[in-house]
Amino acid sequence: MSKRILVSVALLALLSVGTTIDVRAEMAASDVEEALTCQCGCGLTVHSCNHLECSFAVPTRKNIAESLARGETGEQIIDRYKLKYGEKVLSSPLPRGFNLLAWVAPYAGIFIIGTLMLLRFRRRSRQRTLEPPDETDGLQSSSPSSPELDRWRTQLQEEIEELKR
Amino acid sequence: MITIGNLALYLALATSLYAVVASIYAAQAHRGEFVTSGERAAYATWGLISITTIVMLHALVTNDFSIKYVAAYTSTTLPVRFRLTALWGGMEGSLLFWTLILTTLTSLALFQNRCRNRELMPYVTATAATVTAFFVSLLVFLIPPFALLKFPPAEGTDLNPLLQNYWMQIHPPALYLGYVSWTIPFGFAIGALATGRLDDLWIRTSRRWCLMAWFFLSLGNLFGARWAYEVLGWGGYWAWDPVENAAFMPLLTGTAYLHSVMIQERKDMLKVWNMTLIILTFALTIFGTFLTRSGVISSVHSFTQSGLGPYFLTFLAFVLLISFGLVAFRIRELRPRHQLDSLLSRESAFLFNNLLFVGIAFATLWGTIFPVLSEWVRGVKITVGPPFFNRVNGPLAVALLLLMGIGPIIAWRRATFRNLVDNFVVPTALGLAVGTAGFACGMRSLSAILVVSFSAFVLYTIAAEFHSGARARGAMLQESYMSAILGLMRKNQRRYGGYVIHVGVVFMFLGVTMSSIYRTEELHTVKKGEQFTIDRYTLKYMDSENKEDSHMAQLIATLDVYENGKQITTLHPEKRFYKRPEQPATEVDMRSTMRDDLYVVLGSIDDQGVATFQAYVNPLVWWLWFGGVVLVIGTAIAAFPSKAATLHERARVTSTIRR
Repeated sequence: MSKRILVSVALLALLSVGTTIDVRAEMAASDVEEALTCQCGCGLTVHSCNHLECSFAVPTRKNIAESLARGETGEQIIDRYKLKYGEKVLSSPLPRGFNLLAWVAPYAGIFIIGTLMLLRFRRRSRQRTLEPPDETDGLQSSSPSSPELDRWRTQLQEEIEELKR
Repeated sequence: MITIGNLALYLALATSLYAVVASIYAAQAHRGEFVTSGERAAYATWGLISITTIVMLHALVTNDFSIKYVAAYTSTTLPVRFRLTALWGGMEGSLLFWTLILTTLTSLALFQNRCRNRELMPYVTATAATVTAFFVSLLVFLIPPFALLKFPPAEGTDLNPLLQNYWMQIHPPALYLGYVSWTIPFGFAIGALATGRLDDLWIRTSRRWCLMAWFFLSLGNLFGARWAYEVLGWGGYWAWDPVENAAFMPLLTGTAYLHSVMIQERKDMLKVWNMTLIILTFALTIFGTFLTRSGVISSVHSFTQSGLGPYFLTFLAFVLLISFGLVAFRIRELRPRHQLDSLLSRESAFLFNNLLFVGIAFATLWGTIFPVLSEWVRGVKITVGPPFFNRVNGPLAVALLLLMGIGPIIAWRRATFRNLVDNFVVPTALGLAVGTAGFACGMRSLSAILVVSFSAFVLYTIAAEFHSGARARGAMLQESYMSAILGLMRKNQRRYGGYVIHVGVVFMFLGVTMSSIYRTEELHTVKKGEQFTIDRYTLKYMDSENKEDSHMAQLIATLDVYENGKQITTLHPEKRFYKRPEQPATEVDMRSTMRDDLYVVLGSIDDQGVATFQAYVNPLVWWLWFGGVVLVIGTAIAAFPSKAATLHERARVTSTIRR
């Protein structure tokens, strides 16, 4: 059962990661604008800057459009801005070196806690099968034998819970 | 008046400190009279802070510019309603307002529990009074709200124009209520840990407080999003700014707590986890206050920055040390009596739900503090902006949406194959059908397809829960279908209120996803009489008008909007120029429908009358705000005291007293 759950979790994770991967042949102007942070202090990306006459966002948008029209790639434009303003101009850290930690740590944290939860559950399950049944807890102690019995037990439990409400 | 305000503040510090000492002594020495004395000191603190606040409000309304705060945040031309809201426009006033809410809620909690939970109450008083004493000491020693100017100006600097908005009148109070309300459940948790009463008494007692805190924090976030949408004029509502993140993180851990606490109540499991969540949620509220006021991380919410950071961090460390110290002390007693029976069960779904909530909170915290970490480790300034948060949190949120559908229909304890087939086949088929239909209609974003599929799945499961419950109840009690649904909700408010909240959250998911992915935007410069098109709308620039008063100058454009050749509305986007401080501001105008929002920002109008407009069409964004309304209804259903619950509680209290 645990294997099946692990496979499901892995599939779900793959599905989730799938949504983060943005497969593009080339970057559109809006993608390049989104990759750069406006330097006017608004805290938004060049694409979203709310100052219609912004001294940074407006010329940058124009420059991006012209550069793309000239045949420069999105990556080249971003690199050019990075060289000029430093890493702070990028709206998200590049997944390289120390910055890789920014991207990996949240998923690593979830994976580690999830794995610990699974391992703990498996350890407890093994312990439970070795321990004698607890006479005080009828529902839990009676050894589950068939899916039919499980189904009745679950239904009974649900109905008891319903009555308690 | 100022002397009265200052005196009341100093006395409030004394009474709050006395409340801490008296309550802890009372609990340790079992001295009932000191319990009462500590509680009275807490009530007195509330009275004194109320006096201080009244004095401050009086000074703000009457433009007493001898007070530095009043001169910095008001002016004689500022409308009275904004003079009142200037209370939370700056650092000193906002902390005073925070303290007022805290002492009010503390007094309410003490009054509510005057005849019950007497064992826990000294610790609740001590905890709330400690937090109060911290805030009051900041006001007394570091940022005195009534600091005087040697040479009072004839006119004040005025309130930041961005704050002169209806949503700013209700967003901070809602957010502060949300933040501060978590102090009460945290106080009960500390009480449970200190006394060893680790059954679900503290959970039942603080349940409504948790719901209230969660509700106001949700509302605060939503109001803030609406403010950003209407005032900032960038067509969006959430920018993952550090201060927005600060309000979002306790909402996530608080939501995780509201879910996992059900497992403790039903199965006597997850006691350590629930303690951890309530401690983290409270700590995150303090961390949020630190972020807003420290200036450590750059944020657009810079109007309340100061050097209070180290004090907040020290207090945060103190809170975490004491709280987790108590958890460590009680760790044996916190061991669960029951274990998870199967990974395919509702309990397990709740656990995964918690994992995702805490995961999103951690990712948000990590992204928020990573620039500081990077500068510290590498000495390089970097930005962690919206693309990072969207990419990291988006998939986790989508998985959470799926779990929201799985949770209500998977069996408790252990789901059998039959249970899975019976409950999952139809909603899964519906989800797949809706996703396929979306693809056929031109949706190409995987995120959008997943969100519509999962939304259909969740909505079906909730509808099925209502339908099967109503049918069974109707057959048993011979009730009509509608009466049976109402009866179901009355009988089990928490469960069905929760489902209604889930419906609201699904609407929010749809609104956020569709408006983020399928937004259209255009920038146009047009002369009077010319028109431009965006999506299915045609906008004709008709005229412009100048207005001016002592407070601001307004430049208002008039645009007729056509759809399929028929005029549907007229929009009036504005550009405002505030006189004190001299600052421009944007007033967007929009036509909002269930299908989409046409959102227009006026950039400029030159001397020849040529105007620049930025226009957006945001699909389904209406559902984000409507989801908020549904969430309010759901919370009201879940939290409203029912007759049955009151009778049950009365019986419980009576039996406790008799014993």
